[in-house]
Parts: sequence; C-alpha cells; structure tokens
Amino acid sequence: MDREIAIAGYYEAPSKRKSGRDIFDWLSEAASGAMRATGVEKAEIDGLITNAALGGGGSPFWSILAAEALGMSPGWLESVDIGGGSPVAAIARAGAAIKAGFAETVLVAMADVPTIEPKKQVGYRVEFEEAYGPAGPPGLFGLIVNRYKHQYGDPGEAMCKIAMTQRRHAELNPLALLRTPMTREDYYASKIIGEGIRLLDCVMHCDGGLALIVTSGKRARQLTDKPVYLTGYSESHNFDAANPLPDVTKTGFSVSGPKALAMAGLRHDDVDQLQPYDDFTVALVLAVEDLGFCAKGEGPAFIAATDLSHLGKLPLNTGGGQISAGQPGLSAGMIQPVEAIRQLRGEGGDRQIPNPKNALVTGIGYVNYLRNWNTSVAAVLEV
Amino acid sequence: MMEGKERPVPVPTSITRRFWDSVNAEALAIPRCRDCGAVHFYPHALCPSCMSPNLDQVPVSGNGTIYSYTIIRSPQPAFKGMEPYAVVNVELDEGVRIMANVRTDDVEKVRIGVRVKMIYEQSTDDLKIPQFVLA
Repeated sequence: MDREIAIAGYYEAPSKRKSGRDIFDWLSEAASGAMRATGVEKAEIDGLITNAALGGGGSPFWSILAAEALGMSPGWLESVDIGGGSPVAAIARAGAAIKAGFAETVLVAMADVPTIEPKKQVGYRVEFEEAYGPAGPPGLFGLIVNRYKHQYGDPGEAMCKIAMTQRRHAELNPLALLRTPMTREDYYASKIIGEGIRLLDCVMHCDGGLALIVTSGKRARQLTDKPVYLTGYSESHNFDAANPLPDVTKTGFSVSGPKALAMAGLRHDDVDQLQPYDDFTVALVLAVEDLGFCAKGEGPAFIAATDLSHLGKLPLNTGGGQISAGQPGLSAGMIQPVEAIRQLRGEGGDRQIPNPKNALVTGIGYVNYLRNWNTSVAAVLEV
Repeated sequence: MMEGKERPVPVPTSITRRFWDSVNAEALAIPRCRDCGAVHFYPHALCPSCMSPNLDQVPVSGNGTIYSYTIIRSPQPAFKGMEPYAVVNVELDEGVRIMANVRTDDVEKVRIGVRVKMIYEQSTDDLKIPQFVLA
C-alpha cells in the first residue's frame, strides 16, 4: 500500500468514570483537541466520521447530530457501527474517501459515555442469551476461555502476564485510569465473575473521547514532520457465520491479520509494536495466534516466552490497553491506534519504545451467539 | 449488556414465533433448510448456509453434550442470589448449539463433555424456555 493515507495528529481526552458530561461534550473536546494538535482549521475539514455509541441515546441520526454538535458542514459524513472495531475501521474509511477524492481532510472523532446511560441491547440477545444470565461479555468470554482450556490447556498464566504487563505500562501512562501496581497475587486474588474470567481480565467502562485527523500523504507532510501512514488494512466480519458447530477458539483475525501484514509487506518478525484491542485478556491470547505470531494453541507459550514490555521484543499495549487505561465505550477502539501513533511519533514519554517504525493495531466488535467476536479489524501503521 | 433488576424474558418475533411455539409445546424444534438440509440455531429468516427462505422445523431429542460452560459467581442485578449458576453452550445431538443453564445443585459437575438432557422451564405465565439437567 502506498503512503497516501496519513494521520497528521491526534488527541486523547482524559477519561473519567461517571463523568456526568454529555457525549457531545466529550466529542467536542476530542475534535477540538485533534484540530489544535494539527493546526487544521475548521474550514479545511471536509469530512467527518464518528462511531455509534453505547451511551448518549443511540440515535439513528448519529453522524448528523455529531456534525451539528461541532457546527461543521462536511462534504462527507459517516458513522461506523461495528462495535469496538469502529475507530480503526473509521481511519480506513476516511482513507478510502480521501483516495476516492470525496474528501481531503477528515476528522475522525470518537466519544462514548457508557457509564452514564447504558444502551439496551436489541436483537436476538434478548431472546436467546439474556434469559440465562450470562453476566454480559464476561460470561460470554468465560465460555470461550473454558473451551480453549479444554482444547489447548489453561491460558490462565498468559492472561495473568498480559494483565500485569499492561498494568505496568499504565503506571507509565498519565492518562490511564488504573495505575496501581499489580502483582501476580493481586491477579489471582481478584474475584471470579464467571469461571474462566477474573475481574482483572476485564475492561472497566468509563466516559471519554479521542480524535485524529486523516488526510492525504501530501497534506500530512505539510501539516507535520511526523506523519503516520496507514499501509495495511483488512477486516473480517461474522467469521465462520454459516457453521452451526464452529471452533469458538478461532477468530476472524486468522483472515484479516495476515492480509493486513501482507498489504504492508511486513513479516511478523518485523512488527515493532502490537497494539491489539483488549476487552478481555484472553482476547489477546487468541489474537496473537490468529494474527499468526504463533500456531493455534501456542499463544500461552508464545506469551510466556516473549518480552512484551515497552523495551521488549514485542511491546504490547504500551499505554496499558483498555483493560488498565479504561474503556470509553465504543470509542475505546481508538486507544490502540492513538497509542501506536504516539509511539511512532516518539511521544511515548516514560514508556517510549526505542525507535519504532511500525505498529500492528487491531479492533474487535461484538460477541456472536455461542461463537467468538464478530468483527476483527487489523491495521498496519508506519512512519 | 443487560443492567435492569428484572429477569429478561424472550419476546418472540415474526422469525422466532414458530420456534417458541415448539418450546411451549415442550417439543423444541430447530430450523432446517428444505433446500440444502443445513440445520441452524438460533432461528434466522434465511438459511445461514445457502440463504434459502425455504425453512422447516425438525424436532430434537433433547439430548446433548456440554461444548463449553462458565459458572457465574458475580451476576448482574436480575440474577443476584442465584449464584453460583452454570451457563452452558450445549451441542445437541442434532448438530446445533444452544445457550442455557444447567439446573443442578452441584455446579462442579458441569464440565465439557458431560451429557445433558433438555427440560422446559416456565419463564412467564405464557412462555417456557429450554433448560438442561445433567443426564
């Protein structure tokens, strides 16, 4: 992929639990922050893309309301509704619009307020899941963990290492909400939500907003001396949909991961940082396998053998991930690309990776009925 | 995520009404495609395999094997007081999987590979839901 889709700058609002702030308050802070960071003027923004949110009302006119809230009159407007995969997908959609000539400077602005106003689920979940009290995503992921354990052995130690590694990174991230050091004992003492999933395996909802500016390579190089390029991208949705007896340990990253890396011309050994969407620690065990860093079932051994710290061989979620930074609802998928961009620009502060040239970033959306997550988005960012 | 204090109750739709009728008659039947023969669950309007709208329902034996499980120890408000309870992914002998609870006093016996048998539980006055007990 050429260097024609570029990110000129970003902004991450400090997240907060039960903020009491309206979703468009968060969106406005994120949007204006990204504009300030890049020096892009309102008049120059000709595209706007946002995410469908869990909190804040869930209007079917979401992107229209966002444009109105920001006082913008864009020539291209979109809302992405593929769950936690939406923010990374929004960067790619903005890039596609730019390459097609529909827009040149796109504001990608995400916000959500799930701790204020949780949105009621609609669709089959009410009929076929909720009557059984699976305790939401933690229970649904518990079903995946226990099957994984049955097929390949207990991933618990790997999940513990992921939780501890990310917490260590959060200690170095002033924007993270959970920064208290975590020991192995803390992890194993944390309460079990559903067998297979402890509290410290799970994300914590918060309110927040993040935004960035996507533009052409040419314009990005005028705006900043540190543009970051989208050089590989692929999505997989509803993996293995028609199979009534799927292997629930296998995800769509087995499709989208290798494609995104191939598009960028990267091998796994070339990856300087892995910033994978982390709603649950086990998601990262499955992700490293399906993205192709190791064979199926070898994720725990790979994680045990790999230094995942910001100074290690494969730095993992160097801002603490969503699990330690906090998950601002469906805008949280922006935490991963923003952290990757921050690192690529050398703005990682105490947790800076030494001279990274690229990042593999992912997004996950929704959990399907007795399968795995629905959406597996993989992107390669490079300087 | 369901956050309310009331236990959620399935509300049949134009797609699922026929399925819930079979449950209420205590003769649970799963959708099968008349064109390609594929079975699926939960009920869709089109066959997920070939997209045919030509769907039939076939009764199941109610026998199955636990494909996976979790034991809920920190439930959402509507289920407080019931913990610990088992949420299972049961593979029916007819080749589909279904989510339910296993009603047992000993959740430690709920494990992968264990055989279970379907029962019908009254959810509301006019709606039953499928559940399981250890076989």
